[in-house]
Amino acid sequence: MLTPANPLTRLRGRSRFVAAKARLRLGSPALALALVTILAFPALAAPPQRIVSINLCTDELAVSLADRTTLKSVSYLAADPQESPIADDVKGIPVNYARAEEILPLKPDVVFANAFSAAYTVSLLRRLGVRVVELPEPTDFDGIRANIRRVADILGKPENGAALIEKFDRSLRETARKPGPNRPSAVIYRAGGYTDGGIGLISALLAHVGLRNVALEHGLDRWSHLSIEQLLLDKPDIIVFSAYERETPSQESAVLEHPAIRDYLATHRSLGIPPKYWGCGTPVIAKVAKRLAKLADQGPPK
Amino acid sequence: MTARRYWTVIGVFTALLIVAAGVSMLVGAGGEASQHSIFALFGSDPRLAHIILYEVRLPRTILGLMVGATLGLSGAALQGLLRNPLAGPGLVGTSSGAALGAVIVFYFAIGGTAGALVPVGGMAGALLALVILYALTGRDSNIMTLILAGVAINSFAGAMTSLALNLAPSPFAALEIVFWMLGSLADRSMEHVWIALPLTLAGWALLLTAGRPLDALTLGEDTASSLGYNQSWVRARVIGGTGLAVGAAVSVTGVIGFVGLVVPHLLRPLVGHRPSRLLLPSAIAGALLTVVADVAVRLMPFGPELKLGVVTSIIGAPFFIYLLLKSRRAQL
Amino acid sequence: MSRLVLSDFSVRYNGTPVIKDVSFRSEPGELVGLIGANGAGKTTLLRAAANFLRFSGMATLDGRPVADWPRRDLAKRLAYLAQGHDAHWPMSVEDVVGLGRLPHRAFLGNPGEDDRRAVEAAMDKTEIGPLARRGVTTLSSGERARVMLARALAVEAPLLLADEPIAALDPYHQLHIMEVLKAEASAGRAVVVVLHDLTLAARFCDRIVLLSGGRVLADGAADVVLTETNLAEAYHISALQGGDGDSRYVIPWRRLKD
Repeated sequence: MLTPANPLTRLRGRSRFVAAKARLRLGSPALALALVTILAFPALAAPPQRIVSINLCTDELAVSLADRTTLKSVSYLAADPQESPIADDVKGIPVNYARAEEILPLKPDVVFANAFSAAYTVSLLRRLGVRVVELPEPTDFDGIRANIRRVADILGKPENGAALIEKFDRSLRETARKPGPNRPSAVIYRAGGYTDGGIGLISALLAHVGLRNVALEHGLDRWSHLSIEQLLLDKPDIIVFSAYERETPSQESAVLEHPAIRDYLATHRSLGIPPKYWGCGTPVIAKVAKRLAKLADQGPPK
Repeated sequence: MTARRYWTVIGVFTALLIVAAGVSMLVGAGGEASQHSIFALFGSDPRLAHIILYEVRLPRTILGLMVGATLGLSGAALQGLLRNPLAGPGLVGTSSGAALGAVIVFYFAIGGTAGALVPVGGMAGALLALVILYALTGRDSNIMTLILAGVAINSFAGAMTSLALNLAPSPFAALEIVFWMLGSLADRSMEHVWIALPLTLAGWALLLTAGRPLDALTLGEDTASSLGYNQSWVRARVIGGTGLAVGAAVSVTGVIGFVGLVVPHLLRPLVGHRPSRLLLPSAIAGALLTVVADVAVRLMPFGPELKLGVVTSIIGAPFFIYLLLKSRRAQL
Repeated sequence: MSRLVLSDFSVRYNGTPVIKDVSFRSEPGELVGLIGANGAGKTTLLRAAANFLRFSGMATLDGRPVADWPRRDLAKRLAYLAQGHDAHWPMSVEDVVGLGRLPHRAFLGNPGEDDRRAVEAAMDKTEIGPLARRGVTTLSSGERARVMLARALAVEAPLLLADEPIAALDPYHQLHIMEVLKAEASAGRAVVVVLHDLTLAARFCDRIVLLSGGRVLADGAADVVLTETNLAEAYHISALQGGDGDSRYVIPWRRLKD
């Protein structure tokens, strides 16, 4: 558990599994050792046949890239239509709650997790010799591509990865716009008055469709607070926020109920993004790009 | 209050504890799939059954026992030291100090596996809280000063933890910290047991030997001194023992509240109100309560796991209110 | 030899001198009454002598400086009966009196024969036998005072320091407790008792020490100490006095304007 997440450790765990099996079958430690050495290169090993994902973001990648028959379990959020863009795709796949006792009986060849999810579960699984791959949260499009490539390589399907990246790039090309003085300005406004500032994928999207990110003009280059006053003074042309279904009250919608904001929204363009497109750094974010581009193309306000 | 009754109480609770521990080993924590009998699993896949039993359920059960016993024992000792039935291990600031230490490690080690350093951070936090407590209270201080110092440390640790959350690099990181603090035993491993064990045992040793001084303290500090007990040492023993054991516990499980308050309080009439007789039964009953609550957590209908700290708070908060009302009525 | 000897004894509280160069003795077989106005320093003197407070000067117990005695040994030789009758938890009377045996108890293990005998004797002397199983917080103040005294007696220490054991008690219980203390002294103990009642002091104490402003104003038999001048200086009162020996009375009569 307590070993840092470096490939050697992961290797050891997986190879230990294989070595044990080999020793049992071949009855010779020396031969087992030779096998281990050969199998030290994941690329040469057989592709994983039993895949488990314990996080929604990794679920999305796994569903896109793996053979459905090899995908043994996805996180419970993947099946929730409100939270997940792949809810329909995962019908019929058992869900898990990221608990070691659920995952161990599945005997996974690889478990995909997010860098922040279930630290104890990940540690315990690694300690028991299960291969766990933690994917970092992408902060730009290259990060998304890197994650895709990595998952595809691990799954032994580099061609699927390349195809997914190509599809992603294509939709990005369609929505790319040049920045310029005539382009509208925009701001990302989250629950509690937080803005992503200059970092994160949504900000990258704003830049991609050529919008001026108002937060950047304040030098806010990270997740920070933007007061309502400041927002109104900045007069962004477009406000981008996260939209839950109307029936579900939440902090997100609460912030937008502020009379000053409501008034502003009535007279300016806004884009509410459902959380299922906004939570994960996966190619699904291209859908957001499309809607943003459309909004931005309406040109600057009169 | 005869010796026989005392040992009967201990015997009964120990028996219940053994049963609870057994049940804990048999109850799965993996949703529907794991509710199938572990015995069936032994038949079909003994290696997996072995792993689940010894590497997943056993550490969870042992930690439940350790943490519960720590909370019960330190609650009893603190109530004896402070001569107040409303005292608990959270009062002197060790729980929040340990939580802050762990949170700091989370905060700076975010992105990698924080596991190894978190307990170290937690214990460091608890011990630092103790050092500050001593600096604030000095040697010859009285109970009031101690309580006020504990309040100050709790407030400060809470503020620093909020600051860490405020400055967290991303909402995910903040959420991770918040959930951790709610207290849980899920997916802990034997490694956590070994890490927490030394300081826990050291703390227990200090606390369990404080029985007689606490009895003497019933009659006031002067009388207790005249009976041969150095008040500074008694205070050091109880607070130090609490800090070590609670620090170790919190650093592994997050904050689990109310056990230290509820258990000694309920047991006191059963042991003739003698502080020395309250210590061991509180440890055993605390372990029992925690393991039972953890089993309840695992039996809940599925969904993301209910946090253990939440369950104990749901039990504890109404109990606390009941205590307050009872003591108010007694004063009228 | 003297049980307790204090000489050049001074105590400071937050820098202010409270006890100033006091000389004091307590001998075996003697009941010494420590009297003085509120704030004269009686409790402080007793607490410092019992080594609860820092002091300067000399304090010896059985010839050895108080601070040099190991805690446990000191606890076996000096029993302290604190002011007020604090009992925080509702323990049984028997258990409370049993606490007096703690300095004698072995590290592990239950109370032995000696302990049981001492507890029983203490309870007999204070006539609280019937109360043995009662919770101590359910008792009246008279009963509680006797329980606390029994606890101090159970220590079976050669020296007993009692701080206002009869405060807030009715006349019956006041007499009872003074009788018990006198009997203890007669049996060979050194007993020091702090009290306000001048008649009881005159009747029961072998020697009276009058403290005023942190100093010993008078030390000796009742006649010598309870003079008009001394009472005027120490208490700012005049008293109605008469009788002698066991019939001595000292009744505070008038306040003196200064």
